[in-house]
Amino acid sequence: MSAKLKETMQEDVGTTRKKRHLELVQGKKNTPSEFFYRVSNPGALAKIGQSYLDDFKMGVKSFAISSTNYKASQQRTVLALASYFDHLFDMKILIITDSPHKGVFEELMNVREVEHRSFPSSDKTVEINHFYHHFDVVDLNKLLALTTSDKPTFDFEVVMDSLIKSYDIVFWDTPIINTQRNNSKVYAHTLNYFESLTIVVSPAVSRVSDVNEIKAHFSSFGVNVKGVLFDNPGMDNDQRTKKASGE
Amino acid sequence: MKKLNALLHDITVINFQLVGKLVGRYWKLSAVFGVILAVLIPYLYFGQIVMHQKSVNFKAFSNKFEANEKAALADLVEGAGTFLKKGEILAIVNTYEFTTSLARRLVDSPDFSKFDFRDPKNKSNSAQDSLVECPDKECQLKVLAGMLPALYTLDADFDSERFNLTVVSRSNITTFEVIRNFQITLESLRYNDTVSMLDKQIKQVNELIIKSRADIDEKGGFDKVASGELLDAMISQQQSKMRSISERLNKEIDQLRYEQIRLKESNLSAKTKIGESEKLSYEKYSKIQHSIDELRQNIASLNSIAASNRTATDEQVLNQLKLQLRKNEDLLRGMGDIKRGLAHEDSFIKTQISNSSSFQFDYKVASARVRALEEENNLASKELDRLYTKKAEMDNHLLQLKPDLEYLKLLEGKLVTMKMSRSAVTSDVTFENYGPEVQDFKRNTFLRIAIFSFLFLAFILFLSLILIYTFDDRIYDEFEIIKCCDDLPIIGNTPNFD
Repeated sequence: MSAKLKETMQEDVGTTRKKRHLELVQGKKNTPSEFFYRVSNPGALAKIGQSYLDDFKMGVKSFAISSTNYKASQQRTVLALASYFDHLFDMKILIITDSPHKGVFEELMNVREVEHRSFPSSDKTVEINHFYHHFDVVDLNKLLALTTSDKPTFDFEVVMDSLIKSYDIVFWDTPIINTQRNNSKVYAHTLNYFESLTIVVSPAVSRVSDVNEIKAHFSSFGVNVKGVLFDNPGMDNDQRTKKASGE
Repeated sequence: MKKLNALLHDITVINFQLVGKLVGRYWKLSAVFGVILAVLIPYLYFGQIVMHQKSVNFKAFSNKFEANEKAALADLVEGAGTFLKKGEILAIVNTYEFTTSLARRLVDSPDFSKFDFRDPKNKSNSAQDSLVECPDKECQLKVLAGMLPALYTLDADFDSERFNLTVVSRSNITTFEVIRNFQITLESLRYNDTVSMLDKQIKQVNELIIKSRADIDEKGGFDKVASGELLDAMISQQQSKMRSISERLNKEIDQLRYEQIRLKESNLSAKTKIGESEKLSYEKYSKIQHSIDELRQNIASLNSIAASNRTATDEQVLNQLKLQLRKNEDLLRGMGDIKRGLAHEDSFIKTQISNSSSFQFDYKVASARVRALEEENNLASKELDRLYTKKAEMDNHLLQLKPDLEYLKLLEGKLVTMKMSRSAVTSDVTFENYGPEVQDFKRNTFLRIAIFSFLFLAFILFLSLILIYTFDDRIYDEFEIIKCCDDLPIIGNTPNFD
């Protein structure tokens, strides 16, 4: 992607954003997501949730979470943020992940209700996995199946546009950076839909060069890097290392 | 570069807060250094060689017989003596001769097998091993002579006359024996040097004396000296003779004067004559005097009778006697100064007349003797003048030879002095008394080792931490994000699920 095109895209993103004026839903959900209450560090969730909420109010609705190799942390973060928004607002929340059957998402998938949704102007359908009325999960790999390796297909763009428009907020559990780099042509199609990127780092495990690499990679596609999240607070370096290697 | 900048601080230069954080971050490395420190301190302290040290002071006074011959001779003439300088003593003790001599004494010691000559400041045992492996005494001497200088140090005080010898070894007996044998060797060496130099100087002075004598003899100097001495003796003898003549002459002159006066007076007395009236007056005077004496005897006889026992007649007689006595006394008094010795004078005059010829003879004899002595005195005076003249001529000759003679005299005097010094020479090195006690110590104290070890390891740890931190690309906290990721915002921590 040329620099000129990238600048044009960034300008487009800026002009299309609008301020959202949301009001907290009082008692709207009688059965909130249990995941919200299962968060062991609600203070941390409240802190980062407020940050995302501020961005959401500023018009950002598509948040991507990435890391070098901490897939579980990414999934926990996406699920916790989705629970946070689900708990506070009556909004349609979509989670797009490349690993719906792993980690914390496995639990969702076990109780999911599957919907094969079709979209206008396209004969393709997408599998939507409903987790009750809280949020929906879509397998990124199935979305990418709509593309060719060279460029996004018409079906893919239609599906993606329709899908994102049909939700209030979208959380992306992106593949780890090495996967994206090795399959840059495939995953590049999705980058256009990222409005904000958060990098999960693990103290004593993540490397500065990796973070800078992620930042450079997404910045080159015009994705705004929101910041970093520290993984596994409270653990010592050895525990983090072991956990990271276990992942 | 960003990390290196992070290590710097505007005020303290080094960011100690970050360094402290690095110590905690790499706590395993820090712990390893702590363990190393805990092991290193006892190892270094207890692994030290125990040193056995002893110091003694000594003075070194030199007669300066060494140096060049002219300087030595000048010093001899001036009688000067100086203290040996530090450099000279150091040069002596560093000579191969000295170290070999010291080594020989130690090798010959019955306790040689107990000595430990290893350098206490060096843990290497190679030299001691070489010494043990030596097959013969010569080899031992050679090896030991090379080892010994490492055991002792020599320092001079400011005035350079006192020297301090310090011996440090690995055993008490070695330290003490090295000091003791050092003293003996140095004293002996200095004694031998002094004797040797004195012998050389005596030989040189003897040669100079012989040469000087030959030069003087060639000029006939010794004959002239002998003639001069003979003249001195003759003059002395002549002077003695003249004094004797003079004494005798004075005595004879006195005698002559006596004889002359006696003869004159005798002649005058012989010419004297006494008148008739003077003779009658003298007889009357004698008669009255005789009468007075008798009256006084009678009065005394009467006075001896007690007044109560005297008769009137006695009283009357006594008064008449006293009256008569008073008259005679008045009469005698009226005669005035009567020449009482007139009779004696008369006989004296007669005697002088009879002795006049004898006095004349004595006077002539005395005159002859005076004349003879005066003649003898004149002759002696002329002889003395002749000797003085001859002596003056000889002195003139000797004056020309004076420098040579004085030089010879000086050399002979110094030769005597040197021979006396040679017979009573002692070493010019004097050691102060010292006891057998030897001080034991370790080179470094426990505290010193602990401090230096700590500082050294802390510095190494500091360098290690910086090195690791510089090449450690991992993210540990916000600090790395802020410093190395272009102020990427930190949102918070990831949520966890139970």
